Amino acid sequence: MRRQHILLTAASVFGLLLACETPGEPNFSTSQKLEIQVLKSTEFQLLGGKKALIDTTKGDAADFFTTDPDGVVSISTEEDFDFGDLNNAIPEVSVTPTDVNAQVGELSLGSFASDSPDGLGRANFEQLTTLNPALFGPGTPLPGGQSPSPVNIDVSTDYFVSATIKSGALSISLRNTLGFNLSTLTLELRSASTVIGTFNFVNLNHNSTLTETLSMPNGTVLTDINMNVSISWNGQNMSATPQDLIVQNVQGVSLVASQVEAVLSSQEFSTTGSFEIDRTQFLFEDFNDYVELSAGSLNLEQLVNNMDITISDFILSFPNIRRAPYAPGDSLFIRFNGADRITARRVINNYMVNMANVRLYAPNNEMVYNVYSITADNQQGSGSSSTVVRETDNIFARVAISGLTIRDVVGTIITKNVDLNDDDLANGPNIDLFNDNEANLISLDGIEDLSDKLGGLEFLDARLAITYQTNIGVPAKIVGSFVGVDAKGNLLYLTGKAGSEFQVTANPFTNFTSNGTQLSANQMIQFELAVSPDGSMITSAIEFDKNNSSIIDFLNKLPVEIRFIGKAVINEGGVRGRIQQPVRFEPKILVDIPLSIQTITAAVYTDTLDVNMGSLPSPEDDTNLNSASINLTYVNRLPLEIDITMDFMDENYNVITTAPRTGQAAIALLASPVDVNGFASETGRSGILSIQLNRDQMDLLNRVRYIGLRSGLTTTENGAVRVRATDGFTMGMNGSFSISTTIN
Amino acid sequence: MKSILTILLFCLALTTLAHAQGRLQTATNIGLGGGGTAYVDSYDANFLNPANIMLRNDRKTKISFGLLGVGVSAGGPLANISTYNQYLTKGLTLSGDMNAKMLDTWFGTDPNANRSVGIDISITDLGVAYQHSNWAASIAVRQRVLTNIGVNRGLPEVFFYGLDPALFGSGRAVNMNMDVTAFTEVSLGYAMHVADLYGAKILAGVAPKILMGHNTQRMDFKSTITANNGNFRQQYNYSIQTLGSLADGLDQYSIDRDNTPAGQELPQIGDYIEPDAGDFAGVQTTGIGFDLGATAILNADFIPIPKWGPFRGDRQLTIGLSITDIGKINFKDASEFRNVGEVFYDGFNYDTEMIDEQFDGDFGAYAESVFKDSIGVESYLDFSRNGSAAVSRALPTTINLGTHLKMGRFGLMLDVGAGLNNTGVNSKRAYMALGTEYKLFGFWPLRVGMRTGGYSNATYHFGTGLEFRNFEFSFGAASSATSKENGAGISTAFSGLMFHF
Repeated sequence: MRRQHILLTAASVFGLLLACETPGEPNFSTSQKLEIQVLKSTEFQLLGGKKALIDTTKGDAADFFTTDPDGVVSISTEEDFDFGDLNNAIPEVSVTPTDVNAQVGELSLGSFASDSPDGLGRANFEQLTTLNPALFGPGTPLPGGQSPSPVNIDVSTDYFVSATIKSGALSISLRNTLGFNLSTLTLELRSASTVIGTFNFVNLNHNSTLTETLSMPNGTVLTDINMNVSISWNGQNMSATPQDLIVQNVQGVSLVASQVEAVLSSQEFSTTGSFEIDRTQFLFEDFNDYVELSAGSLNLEQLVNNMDITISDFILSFPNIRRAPYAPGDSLFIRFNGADRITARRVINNYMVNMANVRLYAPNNEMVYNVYSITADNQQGSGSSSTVVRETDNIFARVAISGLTIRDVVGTIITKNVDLNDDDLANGPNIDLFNDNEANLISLDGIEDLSDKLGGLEFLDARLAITYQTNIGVPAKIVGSFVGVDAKGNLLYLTGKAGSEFQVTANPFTNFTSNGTQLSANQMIQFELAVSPDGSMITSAIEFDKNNSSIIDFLNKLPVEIRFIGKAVINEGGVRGRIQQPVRFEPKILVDIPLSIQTITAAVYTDTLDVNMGSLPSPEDDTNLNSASINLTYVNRLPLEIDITMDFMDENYNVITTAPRTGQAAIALLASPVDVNGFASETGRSGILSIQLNRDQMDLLNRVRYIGLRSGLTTTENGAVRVRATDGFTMGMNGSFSISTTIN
Repeated sequence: MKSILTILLFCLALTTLAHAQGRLQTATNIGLGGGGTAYVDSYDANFLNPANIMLRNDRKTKISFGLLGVGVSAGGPLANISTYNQYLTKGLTLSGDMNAKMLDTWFGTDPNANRSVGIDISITDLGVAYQHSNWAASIAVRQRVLTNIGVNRGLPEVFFYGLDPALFGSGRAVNMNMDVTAFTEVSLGYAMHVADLYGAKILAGVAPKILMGHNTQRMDFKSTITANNGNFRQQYNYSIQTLGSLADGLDQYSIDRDNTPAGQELPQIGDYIEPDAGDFAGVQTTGIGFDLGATAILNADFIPIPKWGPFRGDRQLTIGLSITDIGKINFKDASEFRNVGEVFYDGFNYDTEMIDEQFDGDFGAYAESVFKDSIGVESYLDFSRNGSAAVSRALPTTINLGTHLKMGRFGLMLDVGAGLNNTGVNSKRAYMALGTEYKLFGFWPLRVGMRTGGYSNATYHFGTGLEFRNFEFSFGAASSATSKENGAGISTAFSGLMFHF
């Protein structure tokens, strides 16, 4: 019985427990809906201050985005190209060392003896008449007669030892103090024992002097001069006490000798010559052409007095080398005199003259020099010994002009190519566009992102302007290569349009390469620089636009880097002009890309956004997005239609799904209407842009790591439009979401 | 027999109105359906019917001593397990009409109607009772935590519908509240035989008690959410009554937030709220409460049931009437924080200047700031202290009528009653508790019962234990069979260790 009670009780309790309500395991799903305004209707202006899409008041944007007076936005940057100075454009002038040989030349013989009151020699009454002078006092009749024999008179020539006569004459002056008049006097001039010639004096009266001249034939050697004298007279009374026939003077008359041993008086000799200045780089074609030196020297490497006589005054002058202020009288000369006189046989080595600040005027590239020398006058003073002088004796100088540094030239510069780039010896003589040590670079980092993502847009008014300063006073042409490198590494060369002044038809520079490959003419461009009229700095500009170059194609690529190599071809036409140091060519490269655009086919903006959607639910998760509808309400005040396609990609960039899906309406932001100027209308275009994602897509979203954004950009009606800074759009965004949450 | 049947029918009828109470749940009365007004004796009677302290004073043991009796009751219409099981355990996808049906069942169709769940935790740390021939006295120390949490259907609508404009387009109330009070009772009970009427022995008892309030927290949040055209608006009005370190923390947060210069990061409220066990251990206030009761004991030999089998033995009918938990606790220095405001979100204002200057161009950080700071801190947490004031917390007063028919080892109990307030699991809805007991071998009580009405749907009860002459240990548990409409209820209790000398 008790057991029955227990069983009954237990059964009741068990039944009671079963009857009790207990909560089961949760297992249900919710389906929630959410409609939420994600973004308030917000106005976005393209450019401007802090509230604009692109804040142009700071950072890179401030450097890159500009607006013109119409408000049109430009991507603009200006970079300096630093070529340094182009002093290589200045011609190099060299002068071959020149020998200056100044020979004494024909020696002039004048006085043969110093002045003496006693004359150079004499013969007395008795010698000449053989009469006793004591018998013939004044008034004493003298019968006519003649010398029984010539009387020899030894001429005392204290200045003269010997000479070899080339030409001229010798004059002899005789004074009659014999006390009677001579009818004739025959004088036989003798060199030692050799008769040189005969002088005939007539009517040499008492107490008078007669001079007679006798030509000296070439080759006459004069030495130990003496003379035999014979006289004749008529009968007469003695006029005075008989004395002597005096050889008053022996004098050369235009008497020149090829060699003389004598105590010479000053001998002047001079010479003129010229030497040529190298004509390979510079021509002095006008008397006013010059080369002005900042440094250099004139060196008398050797100055030799090859004579046995002192040169008391030596002047070597260069009339075409002038010191400031460069008048003809300012010419350069070198003079040795006074204490610096050049003594006999003296050798002077390396006598330097600083040529800084001098100008070389060298018409026809000839540099003239003059040598003027005066030998010492040995006849002055006493004690001078005779000297042998030959007409071939000379003074020799070797003149070297060297170390010339030219700072200013006026003249005709021979065509010259000047490198604008440094040469990196690592790649030999080549100048390569992609050698950073050689090429000049403009970095447009600020548009790198845009360049990488945007393609196919045509910038109608893009231009590249080179504003430069230069002081080159001759025509100069820059021949080189601009290559633009876009963010994807694509290259595009800027070239001149066919027939334009900027077109290069043949590459003159074989060492210009691009990544080691020689550049061809169609990868190059050329432009002329303005000529400075007077060598002062001038400012000028060159603009490459759509009419004269490939600039549109070039800049449509939105290069993030522009490289340049080039040479300046100086004075290709060979005209006269001026270049002075430092030779400057200081360009600024202005890249200006106004957002004046047109699309024939849609430009494409692509971007890959790093969007990790791993936090979104997967199909296995409890919470899932069943669908999503994102609605963008917009007013587009940009003259661009933007069609958007989004590729949702996994970590390996595989496309998982795409929005809009096939068959769905495009996600398009319609373009604003434009006015006749291509400006977007103030009211813009309103619309709603909807992005629909279904459950299948939503299930995939958590695998998304990247969103590939492809936007087709089309100008309003594919026409030309201009984008202003104030353009923009107003956009608000709301989303409708269906969310399911499974709880189990 | 007819009278008994009439009483039963009356009681059953009451259950249609019934609701339950925050009464003491002992291991014994839980097994009997939660009643015990005419049954529970010893020091537990202090809290159910003080007259019963003197009950069964014919036993040889006169002193009862107990430790660590624990009772927990929870339930309410918010704990609607039936609806939960029907909709939320079968893998259904809830949307549209199904959501509506579920919430109609759970919360009713009135969008403002509140559904709550209550939790009462009671620990009788110590109890001692002494019975004399004509009187009895007892003392019991009991700790109680009364909790009530309620929401309206707006909150689950947010969960199940999201911010569906179809539902929230014209505004929808989203309300919730929470009320927690912790206190300790030291109850002194006294009962005596006061009369004999018509053969019935009349007992009366009273148990005044000292109430030592530890803490009280009350939060009442009312709001209206409107979601349409992508906009979200929540107009709200909430208050928080609290005290202790939480009040100090909130107060300091409010001050610091108000003093934060513009543009600087606002303080984090988490830095100001540090749990402090002392808040629930210390005595913040004291008060007085009462439990009153009267019991009549009658001879039940008139019951026309043969005295055989399980009905063999003495027969006795006990009828008890009690009013319990009279009184309230006044917390003098509670702080009240209020915030009346509105959150309106109509999309991000794409403020590029702010994004650039304050967030270094990081839109994510900007968005987080908008939600966290602008909406979260600057609005929802923009409360201010409304001053200090005394707040009172009423005890879960109930009025109870119970009977106990003892027929040998078999007993049958029936209680009816109603709460006079909604404190804790108390409910103004009347309840009926019906239970029966059979003591196998005289020391092994088996108790089953049911309760209907009150704070939840009908609950079914079971209890057992070992009840020897000098020692007893028992436990009981209850749960509802269905919670549809009025919610589930669960209770469990352990008697702790009780000794009789």
